[in-house]
Amino acid sequence: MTVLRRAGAVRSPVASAVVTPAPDPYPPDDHLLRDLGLWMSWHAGPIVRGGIARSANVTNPSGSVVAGALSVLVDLVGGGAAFVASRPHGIATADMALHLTGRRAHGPIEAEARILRAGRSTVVAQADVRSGDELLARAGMTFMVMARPDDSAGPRPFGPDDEPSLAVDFAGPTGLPVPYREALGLVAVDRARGEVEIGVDEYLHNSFGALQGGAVVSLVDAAAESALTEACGAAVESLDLHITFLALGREGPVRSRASVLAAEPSWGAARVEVHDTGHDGRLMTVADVTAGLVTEGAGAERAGVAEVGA
Amino acid sequence: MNLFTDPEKGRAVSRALGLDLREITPGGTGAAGPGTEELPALVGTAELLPHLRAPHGGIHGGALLALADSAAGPANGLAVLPRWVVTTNLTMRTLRAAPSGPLTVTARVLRRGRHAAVAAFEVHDDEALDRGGGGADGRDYVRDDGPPAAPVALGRLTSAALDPKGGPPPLARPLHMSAPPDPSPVPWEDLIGIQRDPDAVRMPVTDDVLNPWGIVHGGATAALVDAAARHAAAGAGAGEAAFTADVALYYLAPGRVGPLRAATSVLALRPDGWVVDVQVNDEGAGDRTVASAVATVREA
Repeated sequence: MTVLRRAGAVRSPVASAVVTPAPDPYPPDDHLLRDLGLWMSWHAGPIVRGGIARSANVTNPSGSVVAGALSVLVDLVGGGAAFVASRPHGIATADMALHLTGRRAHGPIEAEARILRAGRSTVVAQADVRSGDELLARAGMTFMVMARPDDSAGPRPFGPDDEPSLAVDFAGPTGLPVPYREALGLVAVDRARGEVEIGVDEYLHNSFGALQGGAVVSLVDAAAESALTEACGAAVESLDLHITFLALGREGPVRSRASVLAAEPSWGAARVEVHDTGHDGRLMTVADVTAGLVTEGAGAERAGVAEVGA
Repeated sequence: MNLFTDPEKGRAVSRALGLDLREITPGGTGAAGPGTEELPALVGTAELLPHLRAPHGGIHGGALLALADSAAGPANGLAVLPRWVVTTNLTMRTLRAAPSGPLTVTARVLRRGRHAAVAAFEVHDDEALDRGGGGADGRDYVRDDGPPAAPVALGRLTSAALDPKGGPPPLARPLHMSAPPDPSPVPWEDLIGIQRDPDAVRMPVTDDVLNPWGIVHGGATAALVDAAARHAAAGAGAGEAAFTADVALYYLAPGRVGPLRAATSVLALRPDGWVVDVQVNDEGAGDRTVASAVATVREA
């Protein structure tokens, strides 16, 4: 197995053996994936494993992991598997269904993705996220197969025999320096309406140079939680998220808006739309989210969404 | 020979639902399709007939899923003409398990690609709509200036575009599809053939669960998933009125032979319900996996 590793802290179980210079420009040195301590490894099947570092900055006050951070991880491992299954073509995430168990992470946060169906136009992948023996989340994803050969930046996960074989460790030197949503630059414009903004910065780019899918889900997660926490009158966390990606976010700022569909004392549901305000307000994403009562630490400060004007 | 010309073939699920479906594509012409900017939209109405009701008085979750599939699938089909569609994945969130009815379902296409289309759908209780908050325009049932007229259910359906032998269904535009109610309907789960066995929930593949393509109707597979998820939750302590509040279902291969077996595992018990994994296999086709789903079952 070839191991590509950039300079910086190494925390992954795949960091060993041969070290070669990274030939690709993605992700850049200052990037969310590095701050999350992301590592990935490709295996026959294809199976793709990956993980992010556990820290207080990716957990909710209840101790569970922020749904948005999990979405970044499952999008990457699922996409890594779909990339292999669709070669030589590129892929783009078309939808994601993320179901959280609400359990807390007590150790490293690791995911494994496998292919459920590989067709000519779409690939379906499933990913489980675990911390030790605890299942934190299960995700299903559809990836569109691009008609053209892949021209995105990023690692090519094939060994000399053309079998999937690669390990990468993007861990940066510092880890996530601030709470997850603050690191993404999420800014709450109107909490009750779930209006939250995010910029399309290089820090959040995907390999196409657009806003990464996991960052979009993080925006959806923050929007739903904001609106439903206001509507339910208690801090709630996203539990089931259905996201359909319609267009890439290339200009920004990208803004969400949530419509509360149900608000009970212990749970609520919201529909969220995401628009690229810098691209004629183009509709990028539609989603619906169920959020439930936080069982521990309720009332604590939510994970890092800044207020406009704060 | 066109697969869709036989008016009797693959219509049992539609007849059971009694769905009357009309095209309301923006512009009113129904002239959506390649070369236009208009994406199709449909609105359907269905009586909440007694045979669709669950023992607790609400609608069977499976019937609700089939209703969504029966409206959003044709909307996607219109978007990809002259091709036609099969469902590849369906997500649905159910907010009210016991609507009064009749039900109005709207479906509008969000994205049309060369190989796939995505439609959003909402199911509303007409009684709730009468109290204000929306209209049957297929666009917006959530008011900007007040509490929403909560839908019974909402979600999205993705379809793959295929080239059926003999061409797509011979449809006049704007579309109007009406399935006259079955004069002697049988209870929903009897029609689908749900069998709760000790190891799994099964569904035989009969003419009643086929679609016009000659494969198992997406709504029937969804109904099996719903029944299996509720069965698993009941085994873990859920009450009789518990319903499938959330489902994300991926169709992986056509069901052809049967019986279809839905095996389940409870992934988690959360404060809001049971999270259940459901895998559907076609036992008569080499036990091939035909669908994979995760559902959340909640007490009513």
